[in-house]
Amino acid sequence: MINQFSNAGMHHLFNNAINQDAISTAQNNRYVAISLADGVSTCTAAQQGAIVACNTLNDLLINKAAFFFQFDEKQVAEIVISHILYNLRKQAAEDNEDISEYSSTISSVLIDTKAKKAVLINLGDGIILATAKGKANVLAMPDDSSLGCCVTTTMNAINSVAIKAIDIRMLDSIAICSDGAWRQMFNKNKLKPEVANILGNSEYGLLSEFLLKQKCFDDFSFVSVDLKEYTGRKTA
Amino acid sequence: MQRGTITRRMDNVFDGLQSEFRSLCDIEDFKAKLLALKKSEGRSDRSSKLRILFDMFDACSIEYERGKDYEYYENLVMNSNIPRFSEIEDRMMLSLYNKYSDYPTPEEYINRIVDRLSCDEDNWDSDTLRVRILKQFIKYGNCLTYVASRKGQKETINIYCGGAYIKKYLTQKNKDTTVAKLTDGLHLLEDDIFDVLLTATKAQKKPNGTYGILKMVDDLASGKFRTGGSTKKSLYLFAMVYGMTFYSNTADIIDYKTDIETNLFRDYYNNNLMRFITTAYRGKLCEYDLDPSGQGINYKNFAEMVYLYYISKDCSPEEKIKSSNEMIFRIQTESFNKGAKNVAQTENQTIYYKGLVKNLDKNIYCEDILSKDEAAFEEFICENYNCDTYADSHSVGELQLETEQHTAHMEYLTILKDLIDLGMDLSHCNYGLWFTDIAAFKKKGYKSICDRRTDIDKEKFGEFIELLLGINSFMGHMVNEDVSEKTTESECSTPSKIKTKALYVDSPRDITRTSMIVAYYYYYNALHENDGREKWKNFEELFNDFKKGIDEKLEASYYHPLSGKNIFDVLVAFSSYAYLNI
Repeated sequence: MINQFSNAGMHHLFNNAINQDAISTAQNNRYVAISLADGVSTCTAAQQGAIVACNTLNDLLINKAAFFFQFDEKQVAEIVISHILYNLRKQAAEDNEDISEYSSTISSVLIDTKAKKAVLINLGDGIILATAKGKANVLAMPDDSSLGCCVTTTMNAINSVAIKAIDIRMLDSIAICSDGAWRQMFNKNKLKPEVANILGNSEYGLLSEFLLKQKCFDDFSFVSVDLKEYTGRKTA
Repeated sequence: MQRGTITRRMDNVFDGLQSEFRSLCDIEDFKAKLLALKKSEGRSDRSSKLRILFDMFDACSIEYERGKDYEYYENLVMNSNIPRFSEIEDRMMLSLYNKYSDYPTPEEYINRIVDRLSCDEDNWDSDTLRVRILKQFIKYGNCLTYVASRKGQKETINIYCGGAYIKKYLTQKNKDTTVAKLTDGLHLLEDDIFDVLLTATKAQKKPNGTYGILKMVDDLASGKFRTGGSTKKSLYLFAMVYGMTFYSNTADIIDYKTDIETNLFRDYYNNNLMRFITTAYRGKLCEYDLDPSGQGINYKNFAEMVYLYYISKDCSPEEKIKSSNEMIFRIQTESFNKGAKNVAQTENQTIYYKGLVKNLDKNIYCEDILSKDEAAFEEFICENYNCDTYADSHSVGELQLETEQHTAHMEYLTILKDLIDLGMDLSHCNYGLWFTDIAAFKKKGYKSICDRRTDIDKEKFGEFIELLLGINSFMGHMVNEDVSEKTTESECSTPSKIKTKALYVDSPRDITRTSMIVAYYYYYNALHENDGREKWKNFEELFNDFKKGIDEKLEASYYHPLSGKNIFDVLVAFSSYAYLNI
C-alpha cells in the first residue's frame, strides 16, 4: 500500500503561493516506484521543475526497473541526472526560461517485490526512512542545507547523488519525507518520541495528522510504501 | 538557507589561493608541459596535452593562438616573460600572506558555536565570549556543581570549583547584598570577573582551585589547549550545556549546527596553527598542548563514551553533567575495588570500539550501545573497556586511558619505512618549510620583502612570519638556528644532524596527525625529487596528488583528510611544491 501526503507550508499560504513539493508513484506486477521532489522556493518555475523531475525519474524507474538493480552507483547517478536534465531543458526551452529556474531536490525508492530488494536515490535535503521491528531508521541522510544543498540543476550533481541498494526482507515500510516534513519530525538530530512511535508502527495516517498540527513554514510532504504485503512480515 | 559564514569564508580563502597558485607557473612548469606535448605528437592524447598548456597560458595571461604546431608554442614559452622559481617565491609568500589572516582562529570557531547555540531569550550577545560561556555554565550547568549520595551521605561535588568566588564577586557588584542564587546575579556578571586570573597562583587555577571554572572557561574561549585530557573534559561539558548532539548513524541524522564531532573536534580542537599568532599563545608555547592528536573523540576511552552516552540522551544539561560524572566515578570505583578487568584488547581495536557507538557499516538493523538503558550501558562499559585509572599503583585522569593510537602509529611507521627504503637517512630530513628561509627571517627580520614592498604592514607581516615559525617548528627545525655567515660555496658540505621530532615518534601514545603529515611530506619529496620534467606537476596538480596519497593514510588512522581549511595542510603541500621545483 502506498500513502502520500502533501501540503503547502505557511510561508506559501501567506504569500498565496502554491505547494512546490511533487509526488509521483507507480507500480506494476513486480516493481514499485515512489518519488518526491521539492522545488526551490526562490525559483520562478519551482513547482513545474519539481513535477518534471519527479515524473521523469519515477517513469524511468518503473519502465527500466531491472537495469537499476544491475548498474553500479555511478551509472545510476549518471542515468538519473541526465534524464532529469534532458526533460528540464526541454521544458525550459518550451517556456523560454533558464533551466536553473526549474531546480528541485529529488528522492526516490524503487522496490523489487520479488527479489525483496530496493534501490534508494537521494539528491538534496530530502530524507528516506525505514521502519523495522517497531523502530525507525535513517536510510538516506539529507544534505547539509546550511551549505546550500545540491539540486537537480547544480553543476556536477552526479557526484552528490546518494545511491544505495538494500535488502528489504526485514523492513515494514519505507518513507520519503521533504525537508519541510522531516524538520517537524526531528528534534535536533533525533526523531521526536511521538513520531518515532508513529513510524515504528507504520501508521502514516497519524503522521499526516501530526504534521498538520505543526506550524510548518515550508511545504511538507511524504510518500511511503507498506512493505509487509511483499515481505510477509507482521506489524511489530 | 544561509551558508555558514566561516565555511563560506574558508571556501573563498582556499579557492582564492588555488586560483593564485594556478598562476604561479614558472618556466620549468611550462617546459614540462612542452615536453609532454612533444611526446604526444601524432597520438590521440595531443589535444589533452594542448589543453593543459592552454590553461597555463590563460592562468599566466599569455596570449596565444590555437591550432599551431609545437615549435610555435615552444617559441612562445621561450620568448614570454615567464618567471623563474626564485622570482615567484616572493609572489608565493605574498599570496599566502594576503590570505592567511582569513583563516579562522580557534577563538573564532568557538565564538561561532556560542552564537549559533545560545538561547535568544538570554540576550547575552553584548557580553564578551568568555562571559557568555561562563553564564551558560552557571545557568544551564549549575556552575558544574551538584549534590550526590556517596557512601550513604549527601555530598556536594564540584567538577570545577569557583562558585564561591563568583558568589563573592556578584555580592560585591550587588552593593554588598548577598545574591541568593548565582543565576539571580547573572546580569551583574562582567568580564572583569576574569581579572583574578592575571595574579592567580597555579593551584588556584586548577579545576579544584578557587578559580577553576574561570580558568577552564577562559581556556575554552581563547582556544588554549591543555594537556592531560583537561581540554577534552571541558569540551564535553561545554557540549552538554550548549545542547550539542552526537551522530551515531542509526536512527539519527547529523545536525550540522550541533554535531559535536564536526564543530568541536574537527573545527575547533584540531591542530589549527592559527592559534600561534593569538595573544594567548604568544611566548607561552611551552604551557600548552601544541600538537593535539587530531584524532578527536577517542572511542576506546570509557569516560568519553560515558560523556557521549549522556550527550545523546534526552535530558537536561544539569542531569547530563551530574549523571555522566557520577557514572564515571562509579565505574572508576568499581574498577579500583575489583581490580582491573582483563579486557581482551588487541592493538587494532579502534575500529571495533568506534563501531560500538557508530554504525560504520551502515547496517540498517544496527543498534548502538548508546541506546541501552543506563544500567546495561554501565555494565557494558565495565565489561568491555579499560576503566582502571589506578593501574600500576599510580592514578591517571580518566581521559588519559587508552590514548594509544596503534593503527595510526602503524600507518606512520609504514611511511617512515617507505622513506628509509628510498635511501633517506631520517636525520637528514630536517629542512622544514622549503619555500622560504624561515631561519633567516627569524634572525634578520624580513627586511627584504618589506623593503621592496612598501605597502606591506610590517606588524602584520611579522605575525605571519610567527605563524610560519610555528609551522616550521613542527616540520623540522628543533632548535634556533643561526644564519650562517658563510657563502653557499663555503658552507659545510655535510648535512645538518638536527632531528625532526615528528620523524621520531616511538609510541602509539604520542602519534599525531601533524607528525603523520610531516613524515609523508619528507617521503613525498624524496619520492619525487628525481621525477624529471616529464612528471612535473604544477601546484594544483601537486596538491591533489599529495592529498590523494596522504588521505589514504589519514583516513585509515581515523584522522581528518588533508583540507584546504587547515593552513598547516596548505603550507605543507605548498612547501613540497617549492622543494620539488627548485
